[in-house]
Amino acid sequence: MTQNWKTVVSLGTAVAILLGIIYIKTGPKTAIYTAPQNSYSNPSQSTPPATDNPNDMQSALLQSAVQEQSSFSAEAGDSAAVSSDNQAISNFGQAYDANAF
Amino acid sequence: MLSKKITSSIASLLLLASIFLPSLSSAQQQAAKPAVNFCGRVSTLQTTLDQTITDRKNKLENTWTQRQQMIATNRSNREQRLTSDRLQWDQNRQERYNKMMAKATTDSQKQAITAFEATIELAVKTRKSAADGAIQTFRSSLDQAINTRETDIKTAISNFQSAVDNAFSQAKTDCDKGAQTAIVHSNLKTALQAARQQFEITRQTADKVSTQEQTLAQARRNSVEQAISTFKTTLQDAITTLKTALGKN
Repeated sequence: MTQNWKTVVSLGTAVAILLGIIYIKTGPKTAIYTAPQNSYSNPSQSTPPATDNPNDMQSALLQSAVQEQSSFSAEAGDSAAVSSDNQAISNFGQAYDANAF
Repeated sequence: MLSKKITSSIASLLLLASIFLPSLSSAQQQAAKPAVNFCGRVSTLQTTLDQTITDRKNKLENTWTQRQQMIATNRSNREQRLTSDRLQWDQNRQERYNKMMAKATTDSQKQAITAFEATIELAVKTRKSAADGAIQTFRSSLDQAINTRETDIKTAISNFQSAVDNAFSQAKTDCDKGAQTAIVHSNLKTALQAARQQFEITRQTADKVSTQEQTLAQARRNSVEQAISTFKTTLQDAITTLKTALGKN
């Protein structure tokens, strides 16, 4: 029983190491920046039909305010672009490979 | 018996690894290169490193160009969308004012609707101005952060290239003077490693700009939320007044 456990543990360790090496060699190397798109809804679909009801007017005005707020949120999402060159900069920093010398 | 099984299993896995990952053994061979003929290889090493630097620099600059284009495209799309949205909401509001006015039966009701319209239009205008201002400020700040980051990295790249050139020049000079190959080799590696570390320091400094930008973006997001909150309060008050005038409470 103990011998079997040793076999399982040894094989498991070896497989984990192998998988780790394969991941390091073949894993994702570049971070792709995808800028946020316009995420707020299309007004042609969401603008409610006009009525003479003040309550409907209030709902529509609130909806327009929320929509405008989401348009700014989409704009602010571009701040992620600042660090979108991280991978390329990191790659440059590793241009010198001490092993090649 | 069992230990033989374990040994053979591990050996099989490592054999698989060596088949799938030939670059590992290649890297190890490179690392094991003796320094004996180092002076004869200096020019080749420099050419190889220069080419790597040029390639990666070009890739980085392409990344910057793509980022700039993507941001410009997104901004343009959002501007068109926002303009279209606002136009439709403006028309929608006007239709509502007209319908309410058509249904009004007394002068006091009509006056209340006119006052309501003036209040709401001013509030909408104020809200739009606040949002537009926040967006413009945000864009300027983002552009500045990106420019600062690119400038810092460009400077770091230039410094790195100069350090590499100087290191190889020194190595060639030392080789020509007949210095010990092992020492020349070691000095070159030390100089290149120092250049790399210096570049990394600059990179870490540039990363702080990103953090600052996120903080500023949050501050501006808060200001937009405040403007919209103010709008909602104004709207609530105006609606209450209007409903009272129309007898709809």
